[in-house]
Amino acid sequence: MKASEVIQLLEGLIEEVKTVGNRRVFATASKERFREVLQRLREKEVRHVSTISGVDRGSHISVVYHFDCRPCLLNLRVDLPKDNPEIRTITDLFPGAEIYERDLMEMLGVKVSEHPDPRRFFLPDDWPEGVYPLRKEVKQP
Amino acid sequence: MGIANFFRRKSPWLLHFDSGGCNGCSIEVVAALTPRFDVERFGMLAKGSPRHADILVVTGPVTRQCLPRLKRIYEQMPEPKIVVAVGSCAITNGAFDGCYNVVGPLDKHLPVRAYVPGCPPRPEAIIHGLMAVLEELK
Ligand code: SF4
Repeated sequence: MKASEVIQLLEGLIEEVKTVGNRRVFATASKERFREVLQRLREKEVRHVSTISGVDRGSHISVVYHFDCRPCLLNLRVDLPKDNPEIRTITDLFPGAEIYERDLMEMLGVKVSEHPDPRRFFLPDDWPEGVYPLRKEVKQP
Repeated sequence: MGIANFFRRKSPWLLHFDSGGCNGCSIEVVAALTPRFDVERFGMLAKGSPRHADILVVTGPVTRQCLPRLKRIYEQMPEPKIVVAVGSCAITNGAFDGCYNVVGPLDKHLPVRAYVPGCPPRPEAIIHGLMAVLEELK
């Protein structure tokens, strides 16, 4: 899909739409409705989530899903409040997101609900519970 | 020079350990082993087991997860053992300094005999570092 087709497909579900060239779309979605976006993408044979990046913005945590819509790239941002950063898993729609979501959980403390395998992945074995190294408030040594 | 040292100097065996770097240095260490740079002409061979190795070549910053393993590998090596730090990460933590899980530099934890600076160092530099260590064995 081209950028214009992606925007057309997701009409009404996404806000703050910005395009760069005709192969890159930036958009935000609400936490409640972002799964509808994903479902629509699935129906259009978008199968690949390239990665998920988590960003601590101080007041909130942004989770950015990067989809490969061939040839267009969709970067879908979902903002979560910092005191309760919880989001539903997308592994039922995009199974490849499993490890990215584990990374989100341990590095930024985002609670991904209904995740099939919420164990630690990257952090050292003796890392204390409840310390999320990529959060702004964590003191680096 | 004892007889054991005489032979050790002719065929020091290497163990390469990447304690958490970007892999750049590891590639250069592997390049040093290839026929193009050929450390084997000095009798050096890369070995898979610390029990067979005389020289431990460490690349990358020491991470919290790797530190106990690195120490264990060092303890498994037979005496006399030599540690060579390859790359700015192993020497000073380099680009990874201040990361949440970096507990280096290497010489805080193991006695390092030679430092090979560079990010990554060239294979010639690595060979030079290893040769300098062999000179010490005399
Ligand atoms: S010194 Fe440079 S090349 Fe070597 S592991 Fe560190 S960052 Fe990578």
